[in-house]
Amino acid sequence: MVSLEEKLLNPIKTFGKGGRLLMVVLLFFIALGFSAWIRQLISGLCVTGMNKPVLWGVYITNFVFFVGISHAGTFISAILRILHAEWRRPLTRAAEAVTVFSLPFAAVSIVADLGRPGRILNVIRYARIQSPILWDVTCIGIYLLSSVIFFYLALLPDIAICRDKLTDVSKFKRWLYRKLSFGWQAMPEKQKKLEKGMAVFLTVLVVTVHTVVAWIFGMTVQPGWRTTIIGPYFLVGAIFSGVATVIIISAILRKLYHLEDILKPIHFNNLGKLLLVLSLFWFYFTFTEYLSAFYWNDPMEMSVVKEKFFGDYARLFWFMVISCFVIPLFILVNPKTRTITGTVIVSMFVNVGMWLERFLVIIPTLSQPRLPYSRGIYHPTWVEWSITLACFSGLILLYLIFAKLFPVISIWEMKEGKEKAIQEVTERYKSYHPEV
Amino acid sequence: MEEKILSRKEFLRLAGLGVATLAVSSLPKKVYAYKEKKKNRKFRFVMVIDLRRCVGCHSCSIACKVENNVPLELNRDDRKIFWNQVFFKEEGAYPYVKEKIFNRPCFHCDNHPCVNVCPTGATYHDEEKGLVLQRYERCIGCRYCALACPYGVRYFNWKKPDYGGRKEALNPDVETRYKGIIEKCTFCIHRLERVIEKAEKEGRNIKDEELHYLPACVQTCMSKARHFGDLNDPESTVSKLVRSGRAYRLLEDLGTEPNVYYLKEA
Amino acid sequence: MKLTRKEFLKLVGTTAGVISGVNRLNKFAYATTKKSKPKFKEEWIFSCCNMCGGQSGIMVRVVDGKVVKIEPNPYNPNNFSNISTDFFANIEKEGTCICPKGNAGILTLYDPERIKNPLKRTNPKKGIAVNPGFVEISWEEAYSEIVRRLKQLRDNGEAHKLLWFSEDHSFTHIQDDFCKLFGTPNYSIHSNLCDTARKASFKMVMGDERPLMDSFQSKYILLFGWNPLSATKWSYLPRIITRAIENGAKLVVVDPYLSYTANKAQEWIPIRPGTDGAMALAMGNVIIRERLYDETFIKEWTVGFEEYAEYVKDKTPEWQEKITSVPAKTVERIAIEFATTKPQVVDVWSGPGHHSNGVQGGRAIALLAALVGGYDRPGTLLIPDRKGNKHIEVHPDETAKKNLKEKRFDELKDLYPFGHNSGVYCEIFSRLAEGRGPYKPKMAVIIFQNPMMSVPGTKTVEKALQNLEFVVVNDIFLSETALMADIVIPGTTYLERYDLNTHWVTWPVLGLRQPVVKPLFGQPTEYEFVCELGRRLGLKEEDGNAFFWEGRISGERIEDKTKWYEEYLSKELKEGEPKITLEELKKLPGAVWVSKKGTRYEKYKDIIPQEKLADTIIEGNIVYSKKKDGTKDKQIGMLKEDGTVVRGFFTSSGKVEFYNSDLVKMKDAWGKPVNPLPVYEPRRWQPDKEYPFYLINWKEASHTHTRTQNNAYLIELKGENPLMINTETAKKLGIKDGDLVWVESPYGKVKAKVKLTEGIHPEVVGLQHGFGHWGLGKTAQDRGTSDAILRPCLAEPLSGQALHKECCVKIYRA
Repeated sequence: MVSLEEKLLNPIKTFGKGGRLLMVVLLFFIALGFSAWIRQLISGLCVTGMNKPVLWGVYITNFVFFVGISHAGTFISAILRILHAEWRRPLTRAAEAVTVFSLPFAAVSIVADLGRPGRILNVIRYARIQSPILWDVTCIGIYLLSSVIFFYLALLPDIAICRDKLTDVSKFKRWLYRKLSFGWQAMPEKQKKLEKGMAVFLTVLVVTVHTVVAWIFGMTVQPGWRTTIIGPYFLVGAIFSGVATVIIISAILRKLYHLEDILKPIHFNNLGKLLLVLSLFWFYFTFTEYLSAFYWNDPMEMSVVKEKFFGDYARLFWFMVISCFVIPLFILVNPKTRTITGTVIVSMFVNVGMWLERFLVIIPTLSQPRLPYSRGIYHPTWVEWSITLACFSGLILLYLIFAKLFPVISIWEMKEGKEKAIQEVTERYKSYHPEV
Repeated sequence: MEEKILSRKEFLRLAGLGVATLAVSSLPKKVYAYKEKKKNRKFRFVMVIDLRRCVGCHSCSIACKVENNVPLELNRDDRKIFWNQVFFKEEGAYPYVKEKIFNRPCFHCDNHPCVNVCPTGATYHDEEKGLVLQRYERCIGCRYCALACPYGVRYFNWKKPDYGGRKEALNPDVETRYKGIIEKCTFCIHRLERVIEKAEKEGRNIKDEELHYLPACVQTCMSKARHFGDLNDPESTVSKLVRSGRAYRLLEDLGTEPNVYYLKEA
Repeated sequence: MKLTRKEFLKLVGTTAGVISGVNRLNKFAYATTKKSKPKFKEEWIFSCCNMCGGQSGIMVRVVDGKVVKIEPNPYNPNNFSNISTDFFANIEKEGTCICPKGNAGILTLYDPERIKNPLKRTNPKKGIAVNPGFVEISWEEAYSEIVRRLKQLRDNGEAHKLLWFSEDHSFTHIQDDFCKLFGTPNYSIHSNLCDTARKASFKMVMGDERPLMDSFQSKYILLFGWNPLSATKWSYLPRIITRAIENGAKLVVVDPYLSYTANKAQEWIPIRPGTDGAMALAMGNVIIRERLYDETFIKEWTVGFEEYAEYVKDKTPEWQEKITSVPAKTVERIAIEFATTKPQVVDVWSGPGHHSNGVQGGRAIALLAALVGGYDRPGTLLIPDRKGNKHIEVHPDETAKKNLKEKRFDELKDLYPFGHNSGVYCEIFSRLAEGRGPYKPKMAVIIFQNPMMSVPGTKTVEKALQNLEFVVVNDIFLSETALMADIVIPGTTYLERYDLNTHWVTWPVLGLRQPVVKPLFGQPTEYEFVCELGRRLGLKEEDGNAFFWEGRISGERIEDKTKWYEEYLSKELKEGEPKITLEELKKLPGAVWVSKKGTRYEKYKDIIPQEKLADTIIEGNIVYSKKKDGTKDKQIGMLKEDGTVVRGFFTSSGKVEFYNSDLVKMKDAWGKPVNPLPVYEPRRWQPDKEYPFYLINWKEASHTHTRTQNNAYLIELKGENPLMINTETAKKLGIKDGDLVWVESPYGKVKAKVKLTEGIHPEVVGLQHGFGHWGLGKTAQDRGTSDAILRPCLAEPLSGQALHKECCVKIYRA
């Protein structure tokens, strides 16, 4: 039987046909998206389906979605770490990578959405603290930076392992490991402390970042967005889709890297439970939101609600409810269906549903402006879909490259778990049950 | 050594906290500054639109487009740029039916949701005249202001502006636009500035008559449904109309304090 | 890696440099306009608009030789009020206005699709879908070809076989002169497509062709099928009507469609198309029954009241309900309100007029005003004292005179007892198409007219134009008619030429139109084109005077055609009411001459002084002025019972006529005797099972006829003309909003997009007129639906008015 280390390091050594093919496909999509963007730069945003009053469309939906799934890493890694959830160990790396790789595409989505992307630095040059966009830029900037540091810190011991163990790989890789490991030797206490501090800091950021994203909408007076729960609602949705993303990625890694003995059904079972809780939370917020709108019966709010419930967007809306609530509930409540396949299916639905949720937060409100004289219809064009596809392809590509350079599961953490977990848990248990 | 590190840490912490508090506490100040500013403003330019008089001829819309070099869009209704637009809404059933007419310039709100959200200050509030204006060269085209405006008076240049046959015959007083930026009604500020300058040169206050037909839309109005003037002058036509009891402002409950008043039909 | 201090500084330096560079490129929107104003040469020129026939005053801003803005002329009453007291007292306070078309004029001037050079047809085949294969030719070639053709006609004694069509406001006098000197009686202008039915109605009743509504001072405004708030022919209309409402007047609009005016009215009375006359008769019935009429006025100033009263005795509100669909109760109420609220005004325009019973219907309405004494008093229908430039008569030479003796091709005088001297387009085109008529015309010159779309019966007009040997069209665009031409001459817009406009207000006012910019492509203006033809043809007056060469004031030979025309206009001004020269007119404020004498009321009571009576002819009790040759000229007054001579009304009796027994002797164009009473007869074409819906059309403030649809500003406002259908009707037909439908009549079918509305009579469908172009330009093409193809090319039998609204259709989903 191969050792854990070997098992995780072996895939890095080779780059199979499938991987290459995938890479080509992804690069093609990215090129397509890039050409669409160039076209958009030349002609202006008239090549999109956006209009007045639907001034924001798929790009902003993608932005919110990418920020959303980026919460997976921090949540699983930082929060579960703080809570000493033992089962987190094989998941942290996969989760943190999602964070680090999806955030850049949130930024890309914003750039794609701008009418004058060349002037993006104006946001900093002429920064106005009143504008929620500045809050966003600040929060997401800090979040990206800290996530990268956090990710890097957690990766450092494994890079050292790579440097030491992987001597037969290409020159470039060896050079990379050497440079990135910074002569790291052992794990000093200081680093652990720093990591813990970072985890706390990131947890705070997770809350802030997505609240602030929500506030972009919440700080306007538009119907459907004028709700105090918009911050937590977005946050729960973000973690919801983030966890779902982690489930999907873990399942893929498990299959491709044959990690059946590392990523066990119990991990998926636990994540599934988490997903269920988040689904319930999500439904709770959704229910509260629409109930109050209904009860309030404000004509402006109701026009948006009606649009979602019965109008042009009804099909999307009900599909979202089924994907984000009905399906998770039925599959995840039953331990028999809360299997790997079950959770993956649910996760897929959740991700599609959550993307739709972002879409449905933005579009119906915009298409029903306060003054009832112009109603908007929005159909995204191929340009928008191409850029969207390119963003998702980019995310997968970055993940692929990462997986071919570094171990996808934290070796040191697994090792640490094996060595210290039982002892740690016992000690902790003893600390509040000294009588045992 | 140990002490020093601690003190530095503490200092940093304190500094961080201070900056954060300052930033957060300055927010409401900035957002609510309009109340104070409004009191001290030199002018309060307002437009009064008499809906009883308006016949819906669209003269204002076109005069505005010609005066302000507003680009054309012939095919997509949802991308047309009208700094001033006239709308109709059918109410009632045959034969007791009315097309309610409503027209809309920019409302130049004192508490301006658009200015509040602009990340670069491309949209700003002119302190002296109390107008909400646009610095085209700063706009990054995020369209956030257009989203935030509850009245929907902000327009985006989806494409390179089309001036039809008058590319060479544009109004030299008004800057032309380019793709990817927001534009909107300015109450014809270039004409306003001329009047203000003239009054300053002659060392006098602006006369009410000078303002009467100042913006292009007010000047051309076929039924003379539009009025323009300074609300700071209690004897101006607009002041009298605003006091008339027929005056109301649109979506006043949002607290935007718009500077366009409507006179009720009945 | 560590940055050295030097490297770091360098990096900072470049970054700063880049940022400040970007900074310098930026310029502020307004902050900088004050400091660094761009330098340009600017002037304001006063003129008159001609985006429609209203001729409102304009003030044009010209910057570096380019028109950049058109604004209302602050001195012109046409932009303010038709009543002089209102004008003199309030104009400064309230300011003037122009309509959207006037504002948008700049894009018509600078339309990239204007014709720049003369075009010659290479494809001999003519037709709607036929590519004419136009090639650009030189001006010399164009002129010589046209002149050759004209000369041929004239030399063969066939001058009368030239048909000439023109717009009815601009440069008409010189075209009329040309036709006379050339020798064709077939000079026709646009009016008979517009309101000659109304003209005939009022002419029959009170002797004036176009009384004007004084709504400003009125307390009750009753409009039948007129939409002055959106068909803003004169831009003062919206103001005087909204002011009236503000001053407590009630506005009632009778119209099958909720027009913009009906929308502003306190009461909209939907009615079946072409039945307005019946409602008016029933109102007369109620007013007489209740004895609410103005007894003194009727006694002193009208004739035939007894016969009228007898006739309307059984025309009860209940009788009319079956015809008009207006509830009897409503008519009863409106009649009493109308008769008891003073002063009141009733007016009718093209709605009821465009049906085959239009003149008699309009007459019944005009008589409502007579019942309540509503003529020429404040707040009623005023007889406009419209005086301006004088059209000085030309004296054709012998050759021309011979041809002028020929009948007009449409036999206007013989067929249409109340025809207007603008001719009868429908008669001309249907005769041409069917090969009927006293002779076969060979050539047509069409200036600024588009009969292919503006005359009902597109296919007939197509056939008619095919039957002509040679067609010359002068227009600024390749209109549908220009596409049928053999030679197309580029025309000018109103910003490039002169004109004198006697305004339609109630006292003498004359506005100048002057070139604001030179013709963009160096083309001659229309009058220069006509002048050039006259010169090349060598047309002379009776006395051998070379008309098109000699300056009218100086009497000298003038090479420059513009200068020649300036003298022509100067002479007209000198001889006319203003008695000033063109140069003097230019210098007046706003380039508009406003008579100080102002609006006068009850002019029919004016006593004509004895000294003026010396040079007159009196026939019966009617007084005529005398021509130079001693024959009778215009009617100027009537002999009263007491022996005094007063102006009276210019009817055959000198009074307002409820009944005219002379009419029986006349026959209308369809061979029926004219009824001496304002009878209601159903219009000829009624809906039936096969074609169950009335199809009407209307105009909106944003467009003029079929000519402004290539103006991008106006098209941007409203890019199509959906077929308006009542919601209930559509439900029965299973048609939804936005559906595409076929609109079919026996004459053709067209596709239209449906718009549902509550604001139209359930038996009626309607389209805004003017859309559906296949010519004009890219902006205009493939937008909306043209309805002209659905109608027969028919004129109203009394007045020659084109029947734009007499049409029934069926509708089904496309």
